Amino acid sequence: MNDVLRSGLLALAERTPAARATDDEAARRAWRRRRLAAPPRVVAVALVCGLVALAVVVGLDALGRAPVVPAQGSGSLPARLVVPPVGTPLVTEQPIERAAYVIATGGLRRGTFSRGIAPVAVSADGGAYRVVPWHDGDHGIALSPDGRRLAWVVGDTPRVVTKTVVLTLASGELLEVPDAPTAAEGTAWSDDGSRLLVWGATRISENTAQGGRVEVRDATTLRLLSEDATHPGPAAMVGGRLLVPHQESGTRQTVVWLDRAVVSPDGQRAAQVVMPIIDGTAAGELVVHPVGRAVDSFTPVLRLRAAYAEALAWTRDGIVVATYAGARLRAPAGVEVLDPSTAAVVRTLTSLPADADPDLVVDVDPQVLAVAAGVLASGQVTDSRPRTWPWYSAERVRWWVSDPLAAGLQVGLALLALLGVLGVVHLARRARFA
Amino acid sequence: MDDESFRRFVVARRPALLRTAWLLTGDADEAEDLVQTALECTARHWRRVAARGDAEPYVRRALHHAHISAWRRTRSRVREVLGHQTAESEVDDRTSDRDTAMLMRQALARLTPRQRAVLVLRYYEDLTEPQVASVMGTSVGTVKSQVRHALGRLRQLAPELGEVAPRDPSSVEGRLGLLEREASS
Repeated sequence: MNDVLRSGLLALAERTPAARATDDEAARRAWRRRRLAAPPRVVAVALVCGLVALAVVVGLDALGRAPVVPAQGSGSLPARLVVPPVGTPLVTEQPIERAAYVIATGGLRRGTFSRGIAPVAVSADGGAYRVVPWHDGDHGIALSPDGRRLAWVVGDTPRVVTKTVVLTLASGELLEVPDAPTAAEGTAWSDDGSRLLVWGATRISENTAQGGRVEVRDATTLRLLSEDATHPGPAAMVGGRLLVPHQESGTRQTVVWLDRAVVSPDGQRAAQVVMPIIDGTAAGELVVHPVGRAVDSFTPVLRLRAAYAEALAWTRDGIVVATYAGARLRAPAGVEVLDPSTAAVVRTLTSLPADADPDLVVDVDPQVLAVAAGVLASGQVTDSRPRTWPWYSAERVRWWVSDPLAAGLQVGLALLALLGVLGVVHLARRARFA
Repeated sequence: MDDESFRRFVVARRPALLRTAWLLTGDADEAEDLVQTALECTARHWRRVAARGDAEPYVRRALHHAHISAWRRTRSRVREVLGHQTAESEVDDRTSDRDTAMLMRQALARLTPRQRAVLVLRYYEDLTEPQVASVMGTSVGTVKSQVRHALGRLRQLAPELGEVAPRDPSSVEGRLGLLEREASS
């Protein structure tokens, strides 16, 4: 019945034109090329598997790179100083009631942040991170004893005229201190939080500041109450008494400068960084001495450590928190909690949690820049364990949005993986022909 | 060893493969390229294929797959060729030749590659419908419908085939109708 069609096909097949290549040539060519041409399906499957594996790796990496929630607790320092993740909000945008301490994530250079990275206030109630509205060159930050206000100097000295500001954490309100020293160096709060001390130079020549004074201001109105024009600071006020550590000069081993003095909450002692000249080289030394006495290398003081500390703080129970930047004198960076009575290191704070990804953090050596002496009641360390934000949390979403490159990359890879899966399905359907 | 056995297989079977490829493509160069592609595919798996004892089914399957793949890759170009071949003047010229082979070539050229492949497998290579379904990677029902549509399309687009023989059960057109009914049953 199908003879006509078959005969037509046979007739057409008989008229097949002669091939250009002989059978031998075709056989040789096919045999030669068999190793050159990889089976396209295998290549496609390998490519798809590779893309899927890459997407999985990136996805797992994204899960592992979740920003870390700071350690909880306000009564003491956490064992781990977690650096703020990308996308941490400004305290002016999302205020907090009070802060327990302030950390810095960049290297310090004489009280300023060398890399222009803003300090972060850590909430005393829950441990939330809030970035301080900071500009490159700002310095002299101090946290009030109740942790509710921050004061610092805006502008780098002595090249520019500075201004001193006070930030109320609960409202995000930023007040400027009127008529402060034109080259302010630092700020401090009185032990009861009722006074704000601002010190620095009063006159500026081409590149240098001259003279100096310590101003005492009302902490609420910022009105000038009194001033001491004999010392450029630093200063402290304990029990209503202004304390200005003295510096003695003229000795052979001169204290080249007296810096970052921090008076203990009881007003009896001051922790300071001195820089005696030893064999022509400035050697940093962290010392504790009684307040009201001159400091030089012959004065019997308690030497806590032969290192240059960038930031010092006292807790209420008389423990010193010292931060070493590591840039000077090749000292290691880190944060130590020291007991001045024994000169022993109570605890070295871990600067990075073990489960945090270095790619996520902006620096690996956060530093304790200021503490709220009234909030951080103990110098003991809380052995807190940080946790990661869940994937559905607002913080996690904010982190994603703040990192569009990573988000775009992962979305792109996810799309590639989806295309790969569709390709596999398509190839599987085609494979049915084989 | 493998090289020699493959060469013997190619020498023995390539002419037949070329004829099938010629029916599938209607173009000598394309047919030769198609066979070469199928042979290269077979050569890659020659040891496994030869171990089965009969390489013919594999290479024919590879031939049809390569044909469909090539058609997918060059779909637009094929359409242009088909469009050119369906020009009235050319059809008239070839109809006037009353050459069965040429008429068949014209008719096949008007079918889709899948319909062409179904007809070639079914009526040139004399495969059963399940065998055609196996080669095409589709179901028997699909093969039946493809055959039915292919025959119907032949009757619709190549009525000149009816002039080869009168429209009776023994004519080409009539037989095509019977074949169509047979395929649909």
